[in-house]
Amino acid sequence: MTGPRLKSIAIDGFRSINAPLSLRLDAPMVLIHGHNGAGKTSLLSALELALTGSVPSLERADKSYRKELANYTTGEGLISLRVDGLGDEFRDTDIRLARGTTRTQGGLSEQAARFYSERCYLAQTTLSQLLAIYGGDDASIDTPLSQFAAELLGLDRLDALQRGLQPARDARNLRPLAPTYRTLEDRREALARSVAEATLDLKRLDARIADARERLDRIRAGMLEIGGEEGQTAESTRLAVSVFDDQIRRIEELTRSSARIRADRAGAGREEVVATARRREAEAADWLTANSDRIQRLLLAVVSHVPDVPTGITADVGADIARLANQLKTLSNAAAAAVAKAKDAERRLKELDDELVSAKTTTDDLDREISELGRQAPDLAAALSTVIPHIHGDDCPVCGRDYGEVSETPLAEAVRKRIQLITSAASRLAEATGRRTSLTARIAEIGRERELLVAQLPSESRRLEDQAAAAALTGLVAEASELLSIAREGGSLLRQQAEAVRLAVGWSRSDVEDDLLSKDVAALEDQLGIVSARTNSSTDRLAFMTRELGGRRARLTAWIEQETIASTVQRELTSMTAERVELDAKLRSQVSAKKRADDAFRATTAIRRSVGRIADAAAEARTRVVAEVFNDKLNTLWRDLFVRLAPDEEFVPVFDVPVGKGGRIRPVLRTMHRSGNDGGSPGVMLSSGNLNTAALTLFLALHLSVQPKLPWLVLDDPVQSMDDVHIAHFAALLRTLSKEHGRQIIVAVHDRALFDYLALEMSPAFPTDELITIELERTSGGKTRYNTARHGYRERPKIVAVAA
Amino acid sequence: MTSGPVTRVCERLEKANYERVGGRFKVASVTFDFPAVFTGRKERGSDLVVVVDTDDKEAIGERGVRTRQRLEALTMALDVANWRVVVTAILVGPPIPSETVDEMTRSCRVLTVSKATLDGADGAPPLDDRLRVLLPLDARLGEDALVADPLGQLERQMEGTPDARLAEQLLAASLRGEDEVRRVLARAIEAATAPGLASA
Repeated sequence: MTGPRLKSIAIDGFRSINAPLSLRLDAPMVLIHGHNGAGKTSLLSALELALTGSVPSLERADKSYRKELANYTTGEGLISLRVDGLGDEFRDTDIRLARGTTRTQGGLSEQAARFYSERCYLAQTTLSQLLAIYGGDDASIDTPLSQFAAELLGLDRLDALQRGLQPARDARNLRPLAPTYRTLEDRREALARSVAEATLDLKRLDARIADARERLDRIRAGMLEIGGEEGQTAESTRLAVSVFDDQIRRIEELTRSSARIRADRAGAGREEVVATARRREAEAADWLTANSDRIQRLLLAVVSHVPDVPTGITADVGADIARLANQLKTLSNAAAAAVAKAKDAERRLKELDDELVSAKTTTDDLDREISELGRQAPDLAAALSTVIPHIHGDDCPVCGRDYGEVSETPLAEAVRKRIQLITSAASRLAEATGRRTSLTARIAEIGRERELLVAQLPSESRRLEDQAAAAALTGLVAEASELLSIAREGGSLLRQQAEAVRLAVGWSRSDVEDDLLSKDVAALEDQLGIVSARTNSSTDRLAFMTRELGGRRARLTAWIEQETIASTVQRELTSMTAERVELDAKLRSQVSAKKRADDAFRATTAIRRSVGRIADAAAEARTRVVAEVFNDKLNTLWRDLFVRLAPDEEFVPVFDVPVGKGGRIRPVLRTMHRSGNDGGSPGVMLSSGNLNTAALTLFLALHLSVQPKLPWLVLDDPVQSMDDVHIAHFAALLRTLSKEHGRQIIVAVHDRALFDYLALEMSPAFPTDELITIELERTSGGKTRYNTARHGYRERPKIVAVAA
Repeated sequence: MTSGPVTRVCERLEKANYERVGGRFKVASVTFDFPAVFTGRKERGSDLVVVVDTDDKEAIGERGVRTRQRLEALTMALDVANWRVVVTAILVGPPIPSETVDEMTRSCRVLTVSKATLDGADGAPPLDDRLRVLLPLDARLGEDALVADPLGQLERQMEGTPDARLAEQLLAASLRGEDEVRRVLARAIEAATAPGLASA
């Protein structure tokens, strides 16, 4: 026996098993017999639980089935499983169960566990499920059968590939899946736009540069035409222009000289000027002869009276005399006023002396009157006034005597009259005293005025001198007034003489200047190389030079203007060239970025193509596998198995797999007549026994159609409704699978005859062959009991032909 | 003497490695006589195949009853001798009543091979189908990874192509479903876009 083998299992307190079972399983064939309820299914469920950690057939009925796995009576359980030949794929399992257990761990890896549940173990419920498949809706894509088949073939992974790669086929679906794809698309567009724009910009710039170059060439050519020289620069030209400007200024200066000369010679001719000058000189001399002495005398006479007296007679003599006359007049008036003032002071002094004498006399009179009146006591009047209130009747309040005795006048009346008398004398005294005070003040005032006058009054000699001077000035004023018109005439004559002389002198000077000008003009002509007819006037020659020089200057200026424009264009050109370098670099960078983006996009396209090919290959692989497996291999195997069990059945079940859209498989169950013609659906064409056979053989075909990772077949009462013929053939099939295909087979049956028949059919056929039989039953007390036996190979006698 | 049809069946059995032991043999001192008898070899060592010519009316008796009796006697003798041999009877030729066949099946496995089968008549099952249970299961079906490995097939198809590496990644991802495949695809696309989005 080779390959992985189930070795042994010990079970206690699991489901319906309520007593310890310790069973060897290490034989190619294990046959289990037990009546219904004896614990066959519990035993096989325990095996599945120990291998996979779960019991899907129970799980389908109740998700929380684990809580009920421990035997109801014992309340706890144990399963120990040993397996040979799986190495790391299996760990010895000892599962302890209690009521309410929620987790169980099997000994197989997840993948192997799935394999066991799907391909190795045919639970009764699974058989029922397979039978249900035949009643499934053939038209539906997701029938249990198609799911079953898809999982079986690994088509789910191919489906995952196909569906998962679907977005690669359409950019619209790819964008949300890989957002940078959209970003890349946008970037490419943006770069394509900017490259196009930059290219256009560059083209435009090139056009502008070409235009600028052309303009520059044109300007340079124009400058050559104007007369530029090699090496000529704007600076040297400006210098030349400034030299021209200096020369032009010089010409202008000479032109002005020429004008001046012309002005000097304007009016009369040379002879007339000279004659006029002589005449004017004669007239002036005549006037001087007639008036010079008199004027000189006046000047001498006034020297002692006025400042700034002219020392001689000039053309301004009129003005001089007028000024002197005015000054003399002022002086004369002042002298007359001083004399008059002295006289007034003298007269006043005399008046004051007279008043003083009179005042002194009046003062004396008043002094006497005052003396007289002063003798009367003015204070008595006041004293008497105070007594009046005390006078009652005629009794004197002072002496107490009766006034009536001396006078008829009542006392009070008498006192009042006395008071009036005393008061009148006092008033006169006050008046006299007042007048005297006024006179005293006047006398003092006169004294002060007199002192002032005396102080101001010149001395006698001086007053005489002043009178003499005033008289002299009056004489000079008269002389000056007389000379004024003469002097004015003389001044006019002297000016005319000077003007006439100046004109005469100007004529003489212009000759010299004209000569010098001619020389200067000639020198300038030589210097400038501009020569006009020497016979022409200096003015004309200068004008000619001005025109000529102006022309030259204008050409230079035009050259400078062109040069300025050329410089501007040159600067533009330089700037544009720099801009072009920048733009070119930018364009290169964008082109490079665009290339990268395009390359990346091509890479994504390559991936999409690649993925498309992979998806296509997946679809193709799927289609081929589906076609081969369902239409060929699986159907062939299934047919082989089915025919073994039902050799007399005319119809055999087959998978028909029309491939739908997108390569989805839609396995349809049909029957086919052995002749090769189509039959109807299995439910209609097959008997119930043969439907069971079809389901069982489908399971076996599926089991056989994969690499036997776990070469085990565990079947729970698979032949419940088969007749004897089928049973015999099924036994032969199991034997074939066990002995010829290395499957370790565990079969549980409830039928005793079948058990015996299988035991016979499975009898060890060769020395290493073995069979284990297990019989399960319940005691009258309901306890699980078992009997197990190991059957080895026994050599049987050879059948030998005998002679007739 | 064996008839043509029986010979055909015998030839097929011999071809299937059954050992012909002659028609006449003894079990537990009882002699049995059939047109042909075969025993299996090795794994099929417990097989005893007897071929019955139903055309031989005398041999099979009325309605095949004689043959049924002979077969019952054979299985009984084998039991007595405790030989633990599985008997298969192949009835070759005209059909015998089904009641008799049903009775035969209680003592042994019964296969029938009609004349139509041997003649290859239309609609008749081929000979192999009739003998299928005795013939080996086509070993290739089981051992040759019949439900081929479609993913392996895909891998092989991609092998050596520029898509191989991506295919490998996608195949690995397919184990975890289409969402994972989509993620791998997205990663591949995003990785390819990266150089195009780099700033310099």
